[in-house]
Amino acid sequence: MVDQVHKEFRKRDLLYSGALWLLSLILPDPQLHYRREYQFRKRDLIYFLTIIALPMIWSDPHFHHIMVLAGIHAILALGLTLFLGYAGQISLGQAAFFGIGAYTMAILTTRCGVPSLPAFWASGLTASFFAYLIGRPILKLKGYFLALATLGFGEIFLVMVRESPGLTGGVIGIFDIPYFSLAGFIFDTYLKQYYLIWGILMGLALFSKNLIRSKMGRAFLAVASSEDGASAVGIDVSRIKLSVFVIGAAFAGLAGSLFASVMSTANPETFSLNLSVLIVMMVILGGMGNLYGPIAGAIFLTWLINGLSRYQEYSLPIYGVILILLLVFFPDGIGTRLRVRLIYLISYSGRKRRREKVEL
Amino acid sequence: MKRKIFLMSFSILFLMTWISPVHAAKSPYKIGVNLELTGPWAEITKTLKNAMVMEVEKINAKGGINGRPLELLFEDNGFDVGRAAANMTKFTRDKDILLVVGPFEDNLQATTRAIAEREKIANIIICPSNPMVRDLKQQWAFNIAQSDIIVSQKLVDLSIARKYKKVLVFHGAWPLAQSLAENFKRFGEAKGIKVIISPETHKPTDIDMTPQLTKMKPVIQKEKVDAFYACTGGPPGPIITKNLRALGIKTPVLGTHAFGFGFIIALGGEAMEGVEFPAAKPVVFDQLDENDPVKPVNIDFDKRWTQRYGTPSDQIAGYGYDIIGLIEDALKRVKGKVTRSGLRDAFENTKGFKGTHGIYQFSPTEHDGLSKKDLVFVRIEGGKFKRIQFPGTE
Repeated sequence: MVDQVHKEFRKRDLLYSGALWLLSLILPDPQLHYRREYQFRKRDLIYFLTIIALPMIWSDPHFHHIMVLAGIHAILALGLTLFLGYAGQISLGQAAFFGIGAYTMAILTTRCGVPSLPAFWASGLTASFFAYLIGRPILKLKGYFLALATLGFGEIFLVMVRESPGLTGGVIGIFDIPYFSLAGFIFDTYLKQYYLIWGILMGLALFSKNLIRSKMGRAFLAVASSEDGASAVGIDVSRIKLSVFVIGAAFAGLAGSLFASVMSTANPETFSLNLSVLIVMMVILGGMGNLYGPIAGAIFLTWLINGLSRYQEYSLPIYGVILILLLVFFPDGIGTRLRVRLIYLISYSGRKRRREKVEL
Repeated sequence: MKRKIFLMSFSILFLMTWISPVHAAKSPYKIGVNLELTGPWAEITKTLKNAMVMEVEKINAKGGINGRPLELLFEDNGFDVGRAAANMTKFTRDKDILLVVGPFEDNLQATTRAIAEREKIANIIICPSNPMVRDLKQQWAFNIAQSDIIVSQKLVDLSIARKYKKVLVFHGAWPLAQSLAENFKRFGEAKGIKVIISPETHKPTDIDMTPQLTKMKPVIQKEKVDAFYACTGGPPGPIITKNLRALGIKTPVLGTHAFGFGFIIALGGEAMEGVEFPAAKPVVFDQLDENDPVKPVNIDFDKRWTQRYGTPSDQIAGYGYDIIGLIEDALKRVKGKVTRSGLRDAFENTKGFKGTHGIYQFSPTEHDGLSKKDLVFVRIEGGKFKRIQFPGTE
């Protein structure tokens, strides 16, 4: 693919170089699926240090706030990329699991006085429990039908939330959810929440990284390429699909509980189809079939939407045009395409030297 | 050599941006505006935005306030909690921004009000309704619209004047409509009116209410209700009335203050005849009493609005006038250097400001500016809003 797409060094690559260098920090490892065991590499250290140092260099509450939102979106996108990018199934109901997580957190902390950490884990568990319940029947569907079924689940969830005011507060929702606290330490500023959310995101990214390296992760890829082929080599397709659906839902539930504690409110308007589509967009834009792409996509889209806010009523059309252009020019995701270019550029000087040697 | 010139010019440019007169004496008073300029409220917030822009231009043309102009900074929140909250932090970060207006929708207000309390910046909101939020007694949030409480009280007065004994409520599934219904039940039953809140609800996007109304028809006939309260706003209002008449139900219909828009009559047509509701004064400003202090304000505002935008003004545009007017009024009363807390204190002590909607009175215990006196009864007759009066209720 490298040689097909780009043949030689172009002048405009000089323009890209800064952005490409930045992207090289977040880009996925092309050798991912072929490596046997997990090795801690320099690149991981760079991610880690960037995440820790960034809010200190850019010490601004607005930046922290957007990055908190981006982190929550990234957790959602990470959960979906396992399902959409690796196992090749589509889900438009991710917002419902997000909502289940948020409401679990809200109800447990405000009504039952449960501390944040147990409520956080309970959110993940509740979301995966519901995913298991509905996943059993609907994962027998494929393609568009699966998309429609998950879409329907999202709508049913919204109706149930609106129509049960005793439990969820109905259309008004639940207010005054306490901030996340851990053994007396309260995450009350955006800076603290940034570290909380990105810490959790790092943990989940590590988990996913190990998961896709495992036997199960390779089974996801097999299911994505051909379900019949996968079952022919002895993979239990329905079990694999169900488990990846449950894991994705658990990620969404955890993200939802963090969202509820950051925003201190939970109401049904937040968990509509718009959010589900946004998350799918993040995964597609970031690049399917890798882990860092969707995280980059989540950060990019969150910043884009907030940056466009100043254009007032024109923000929506501009947003649409940008998305269309990105999909036209980067059909397999920003991450995937630029990664190819980057690998070419990195190897360019080496190849040039070799070529010169031959000519001599 | 070339490089030297480049470096020189670059450093000069850099220094110029550094020295640029950010803190000069004539720097403007900045107001952040955080509105749903895209999404389901786009039309309404656009009207509000136009009105605010028009008023600010008028003030600046007259030389500003204390010799300093007023500047509005708009941010769109796209009907999303996260974005509304992020816009709010963006505004609080800029030390020159003295006050934030919006958002419009009450779901978003809860979060931004919490940020306003934490960051200590005044937040002006339009149409708050959330009982849970109201109980928090927030110090930095001010409401300039008619609250659900006074609208419900006024509607109870209307029902008493019309001698309705039994009212059936069909409310929308959003917080404002729900709390209007509950407050109507609370105040109505205190005055001896039997209020039945139907378990059926509707959404703002419903384009046909016949299924819900068919289920409610037996209740209307069995209970012999005197009036049907369409507790809603926007397009559902005329849709409910039309569907109700199509089902052959002749019960009088009561509406909320959100019925006072021209498009409501255009959508509902014949069916809207005879609908009565408590309305804000801008809806029928030409029919107000001659000695009403609000009347000249409205006539002047409507003249300027029609001249500039070519359409008649409405109550939402009136809110825009009132917001800017209240800010101007408060800024004039701040003594010494204008700070966020100084402006908040001045705003809290607003007494008797004449807006298009009525006379605003704020106090440390009362952050809802308008009172029941600032509402009038309106009946739709011949495709027009007509003010009706009952002795002893004004």
